[in-house]
Amino acid sequence: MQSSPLAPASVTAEDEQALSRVFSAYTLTGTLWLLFGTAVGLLVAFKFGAPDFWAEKYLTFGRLRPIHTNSVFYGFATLMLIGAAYHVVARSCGTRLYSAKLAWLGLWLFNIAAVAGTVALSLGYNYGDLEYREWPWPIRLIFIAAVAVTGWNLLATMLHRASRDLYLSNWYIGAGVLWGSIIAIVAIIPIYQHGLGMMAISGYYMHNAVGMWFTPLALGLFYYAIPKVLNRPIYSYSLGVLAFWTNLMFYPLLGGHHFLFSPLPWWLQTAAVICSVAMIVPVFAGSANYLLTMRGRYHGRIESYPLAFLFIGVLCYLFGSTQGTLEALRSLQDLWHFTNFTVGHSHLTMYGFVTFAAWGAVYALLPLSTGKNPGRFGMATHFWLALVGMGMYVIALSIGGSVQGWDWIQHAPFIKSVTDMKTYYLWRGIGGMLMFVSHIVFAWNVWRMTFGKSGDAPSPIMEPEAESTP
Amino acid sequence: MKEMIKIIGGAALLYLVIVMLIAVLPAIDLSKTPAGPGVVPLTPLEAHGRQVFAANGCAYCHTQQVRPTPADANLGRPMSPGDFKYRTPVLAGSERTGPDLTNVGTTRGSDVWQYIHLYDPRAVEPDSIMPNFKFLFRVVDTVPEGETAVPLPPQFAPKHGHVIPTADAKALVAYLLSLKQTKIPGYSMNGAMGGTTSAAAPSTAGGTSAAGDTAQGASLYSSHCAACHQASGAGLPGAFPPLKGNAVVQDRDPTEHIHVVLNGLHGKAIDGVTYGGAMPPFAGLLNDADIAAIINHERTSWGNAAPTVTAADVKAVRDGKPVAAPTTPATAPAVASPTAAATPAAAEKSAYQFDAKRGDALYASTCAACHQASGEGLPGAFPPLKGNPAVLADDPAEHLSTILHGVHGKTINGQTYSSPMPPFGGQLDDEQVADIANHERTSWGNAARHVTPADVAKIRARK
Repeated sequence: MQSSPLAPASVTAEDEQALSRVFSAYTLTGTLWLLFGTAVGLLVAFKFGAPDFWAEKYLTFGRLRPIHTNSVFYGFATLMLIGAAYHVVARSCGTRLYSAKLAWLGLWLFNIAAVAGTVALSLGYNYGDLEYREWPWPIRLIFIAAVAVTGWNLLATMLHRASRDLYLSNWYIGAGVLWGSIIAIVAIIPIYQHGLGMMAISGYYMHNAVGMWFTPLALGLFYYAIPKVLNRPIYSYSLGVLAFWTNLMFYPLLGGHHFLFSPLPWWLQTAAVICSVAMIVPVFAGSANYLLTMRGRYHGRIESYPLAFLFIGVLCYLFGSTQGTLEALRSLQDLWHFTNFTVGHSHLTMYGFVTFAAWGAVYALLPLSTGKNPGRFGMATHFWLALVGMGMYVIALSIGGSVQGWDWIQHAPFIKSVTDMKTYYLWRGIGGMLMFVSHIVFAWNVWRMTFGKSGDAPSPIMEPEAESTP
Repeated sequence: MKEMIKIIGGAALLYLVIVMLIAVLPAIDLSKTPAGPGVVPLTPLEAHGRQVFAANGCAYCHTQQVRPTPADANLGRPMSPGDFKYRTPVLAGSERTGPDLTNVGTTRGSDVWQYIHLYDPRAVEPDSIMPNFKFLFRVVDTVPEGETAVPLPPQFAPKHGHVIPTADAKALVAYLLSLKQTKIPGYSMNGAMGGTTSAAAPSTAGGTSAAGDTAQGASLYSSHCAACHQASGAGLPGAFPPLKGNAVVQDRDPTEHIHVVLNGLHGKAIDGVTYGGAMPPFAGLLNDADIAAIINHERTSWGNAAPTVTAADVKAVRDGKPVAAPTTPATAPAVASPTAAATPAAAEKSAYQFDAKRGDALYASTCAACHQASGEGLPGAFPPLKGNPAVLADDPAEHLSTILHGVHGKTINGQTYSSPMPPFGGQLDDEQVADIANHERTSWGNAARHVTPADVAKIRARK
């Protein structure tokens, strides 16, 4: 790494091909995990109405539920975001990928971890039902190795960049891989995880995995893909810098809001509430920056599906995070905590924000990398099915969760909160079905962008507007 | 290079500092939190059960976390840091799709109920959406020695054979039954351990006038009683007795009825059926007004038409005094009322509650050397207590007398035992003797009625 960053390795056509293959492979395997993880999710949703359906040992609800969350988190979302991140980092730094070999090694490690984790959970090896870190520790070690390899590769690529300045996307992606490593390592060390200590680490982990791993990667893709598609620069570099540092200051602390009213120290809980409110600063600064970059292109949002995906991603980032702030207030916790409202919230954020961001980035960037487009109809079908499905899912569980919470406050017999949810579980299932069908369409689109026959969609990059160049 | 170190290195370093301050250092400190009063480690069996619980993801639908919020006021006292000493993994949960389990060992304290519910939740709760855990059970043609078949209602039982729990199911049930909050001395919430419904619902008048609130009674019955006795009051044949048409419930004198709700019941024959499961006591869980509301619901529903009671009546029975309108308690031997409100020792009696853990520990240290932990004794040397007629007798006189005064050269089931049993009257007080006797009367398949320290005092005084 002694070579000067000011002297980038020149990018050859071979390098371009290697990068394109890496991007395609990450996207393809990520898509397979999406199909598998959401198929399991759909089955789990179905079990709410038919609890005796496939109640056998390896298919019981409590084993499938963590398989669903872990495979969409660490199989699907992680692979999709990192695949696109390789492309973004190499292109925005104007250099070749530091090592295609390391990228392939990372891909293998991520997939091995996800397969082994799925098998382990199905066999009943669950690390104490601690959300999003249920895989037994040896498997989480493989995941940590995968993140480390990826971080090394991405940071080394940035070191060889052509320009002096480091573009904003790389701030988020570069810091994100380091934060991700810290999170995973803190969560795996057992010495300070006894009783309440374990509870404190769980609160930290649950939200930092989301906020300091998935969020920075997705935001990094936004900063590259949105200006790219619109063919205009980002609205404000300084707003992006503000959002970056405030996100870092406020996000790490807010995990404690999962354990409000628990015996965790009151200062930790109060700090979590305050930081949840303070998150308004980075969320509004970030969202405003993206939306202002899109200003005057309302028409384009309908015309260009890559932009439509990114637009929904930004909106869900704004709404989902603001909703999270509200949920963290103690008065509203009384009503919503432990209810299905939180399940709706996690889908609004992990699906509406992170997943739509990943899809938007793939539709915007993969055709530029492979030279193949998806079909326009395929993209439209994917977009509307996913959007309507998610809307039904989130609305049903938000209303249902409120009803559930109200039943508890009324001290109705518990079973009432179960029977009252029936309708909402049904609508959630219908929404989930639409989402799953959209994923099959997405898989077809990915195939056309990689190995299949190119489709009829136009280039994801829009024509620049002559009159409004800032 | 410099800019990258400044931005990305700085961001990572700053994050590391924040993580140390808000996660790692607090966790190091919190891991040292000492155990609260009465908080004990799990037994190996219960710890095995906790593994089964985690492996099957029970914590994804069931919390074990009572908060100081209105919604949780009827679940027990709010968690205290000392509750977590032996809870690694914590299993606090994040969703309450099913009910909170913090006190399930108290509210669903019957192992029979737990087995039926695990085998098919809809056998006891028709609207439940919990999956069945039939894979934790085996179906056998003949019940092996030392195993007990789960008394399933016919429509939920397999067509052939008997259902017996596997080792995993037994461990899981042991773990569930161990989930009970301990009392914190000096801490009180509305007088009783744990909140009560009427305290939290402002619409209910507290104190003595709550008895007439039928909606309250129906709701309390539904959350505390219907799991076993069913919303229809019909119980589950062979597993849980019916309250509809039940003689005690219909009795004009409510003493026995109140007493059973307060103190629980075990091994009693009702209409010729002996029930294996134990009914847990509710005295520590509900206040007088709530218990009166439940009792009145039972006395006036499903065709039952007995006179209602007041919170004052419940208080009277709780304190061992006769209820307000004293109908002389029948001394009917068939009922064998453990209340016996007339005896002078009644106050002490109702204050006593059999604590299975205490009984188990005393038995282990005092009796198990000869009679064995399995209650089977040693053939030819020490007699079995399991199935022993003196232990099973409804009249505990001989059983208690043997513990107090010892025995020598007695023939039991045709076998004469030559080694003498020493008297324990000198080293154990009445309550300890009662604990041991109750342990013996309710273990290894034995199901005789509980005795009280007053019973022991009576036998002790006889000689």
